[in-house]
Amino acid sequence: MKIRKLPKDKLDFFASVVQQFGEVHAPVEQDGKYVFQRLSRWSEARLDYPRTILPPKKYCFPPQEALFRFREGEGYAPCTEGLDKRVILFGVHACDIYALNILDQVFSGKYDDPYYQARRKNVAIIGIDCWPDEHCFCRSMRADFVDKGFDLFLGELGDHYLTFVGTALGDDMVLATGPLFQDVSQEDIDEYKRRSTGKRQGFKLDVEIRDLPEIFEMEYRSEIWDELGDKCLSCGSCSMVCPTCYCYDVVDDTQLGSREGRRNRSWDSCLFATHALVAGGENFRKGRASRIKYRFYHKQRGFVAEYGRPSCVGCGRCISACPVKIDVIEVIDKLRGIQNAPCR
Amino acid sequence: MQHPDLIIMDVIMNERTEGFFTVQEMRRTVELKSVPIFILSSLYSQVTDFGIPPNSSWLAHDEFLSKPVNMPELLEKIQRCMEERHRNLQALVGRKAET
Repeated sequence: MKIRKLPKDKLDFFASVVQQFGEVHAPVEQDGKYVFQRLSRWSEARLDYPRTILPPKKYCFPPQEALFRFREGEGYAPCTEGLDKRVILFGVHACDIYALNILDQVFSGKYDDPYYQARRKNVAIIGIDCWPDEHCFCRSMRADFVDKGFDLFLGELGDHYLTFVGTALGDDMVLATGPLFQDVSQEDIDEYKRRSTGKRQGFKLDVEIRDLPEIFEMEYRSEIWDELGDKCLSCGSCSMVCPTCYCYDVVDDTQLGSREGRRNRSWDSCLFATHALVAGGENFRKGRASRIKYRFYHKQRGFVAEYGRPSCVGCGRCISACPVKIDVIEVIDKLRGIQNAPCR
Repeated sequence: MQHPDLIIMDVIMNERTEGFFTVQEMRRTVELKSVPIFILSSLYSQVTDFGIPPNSSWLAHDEFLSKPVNMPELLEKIQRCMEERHRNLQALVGRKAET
């Protein structure tokens, strides 16, 4: 992997020049929170953000999208608007890149999703180092470091960014901005390793995940699920902000008497009362307890069986978004029988 | 929106790179994407270590002139640009009339 060094005081020039590869989007502050959006000037970017409200998955798998139109006598026509839009996501954290790598597997494995794949192909990722806050546990989920899924990754190096080149597109960006970059010395490498060690020690949350499938198998009938069901509001906030949740609902948009319409899909949540409702009125998960239990089992148990790791990346969004303070780490600790884990 | 025949602008505005973003924004705006953009700037004398030449494709502009601007040169470039635009417009009108 090619590694170069970019002075931080030239990052604005770098971002300006790479616009030739697509629209530059980055985290922008809105009412004390952060959202990924298109920049109209570089000073809008906030690269020291803790986490964005919605993860970058919204660029590849938008909250709502039209799949195809239909009209009597003409048949079906796929909706392709926006699929070819080239976007550069600037300042993506390692956990969110890891999450995109997980979604890549989901949407291009057994069931290819051409809409996701078309958008993903046109989204360039420039990752950036971050510092853990009180909700981050990406290190526990092995998602604090990525070696793929980015075009460039900017590692923290004081006055510079150690720039890891991940793809040919990333290399093109470096070549297009060549005079801004410098060669890397052994001192730079040593400094980066020292800072990485410091970051590892900065995590306030820690959870062991290796035996989670076993713990979940043993605690299937735990009363913890009923306690959580009493507490959970089924608002679905945790799913809406999750970087790896991929459930969606498909609804035809057509007027009574009309001979045309659109088939749309929008994000769904397994916490919603209608998620497991099927034709005929049967609902496989009527109670809130069964729905939140399903969410935990899918993230931490079912996904491991299918893909070899939990789908949770430890970004902490669900913890910060939950209106009744349901905390995934606390739930796992309780299942494990730890009431006051030393990490908390 | 008024449709200008030519846009003359700097890239250093409130921020030293703001104009770069403005150029790209205009290039993605349907009404402005084909309007010629002339950039007059002291970028290369003010930021000596920037180092990326303006003649590569990244800036999406038509002319780059360093300040202080040679006024006869600027006027000549504007005239040439306007004449070419006029010729292209005439050719387009001719093609539409034929069809």
